[in-house]
Amino acid sequence: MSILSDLLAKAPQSVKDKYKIKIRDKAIERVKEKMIKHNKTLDDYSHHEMEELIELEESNLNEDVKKTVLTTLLVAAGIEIVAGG
Amino acid sequence: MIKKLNQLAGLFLATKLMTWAIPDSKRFIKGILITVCIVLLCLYFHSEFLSWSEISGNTKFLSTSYIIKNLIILISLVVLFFYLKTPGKKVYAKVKGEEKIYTKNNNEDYFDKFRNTDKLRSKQERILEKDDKD
Repeated sequence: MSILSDLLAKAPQSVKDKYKIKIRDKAIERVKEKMIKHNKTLDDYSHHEMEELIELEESNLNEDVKKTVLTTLLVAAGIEIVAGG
Repeated sequence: MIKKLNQLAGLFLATKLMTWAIPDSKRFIKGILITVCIVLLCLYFHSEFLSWSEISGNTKFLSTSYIIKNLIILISLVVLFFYLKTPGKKVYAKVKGEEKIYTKNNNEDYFDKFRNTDKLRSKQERILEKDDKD
């Protein structure tokens, strides 16, 4: 998580805000999908429970982003080595 | 060959990253492309008209054609400016079967309070806060 946090700390505020908005929207989407899958409605959860669900999805998404960025960097470096050698 | 592929992959990833990080970039690219097409078409038709007038010797509408051409280019640039200036309507992505989770009391607006919250608290944080109070 620290790599992503460091990267975000260096980025300009507008980019940070956009990233946060995007991640929050995606987390809400995932929560909706899970609720549909389990046949739940919004009335089945309290405000706190919903907040926790969205927060959990947000953390998972941040983890996914971190993994994707690292994989992409490694693949790019691998291709560069193959092309160079 | 591999270097070319690498460059192409890099270009593709950069475009993907740009459209992901800046959602409005799609709107920006669309506006620019349409304007460029209009301007290029205008220039093409005008050059065709100039060739025709040169061959036929008909120079009656020559000055008008220049005025029309420049007006079209100017109008398209002004329209592009205002198109890019006005913010696009925020539309949230719909999940298939989303309406099932809504009730009479709660609809899509329910999630707005979470969208507008700066930091959401996790279960762990809530428990720790509770312990602090005790």
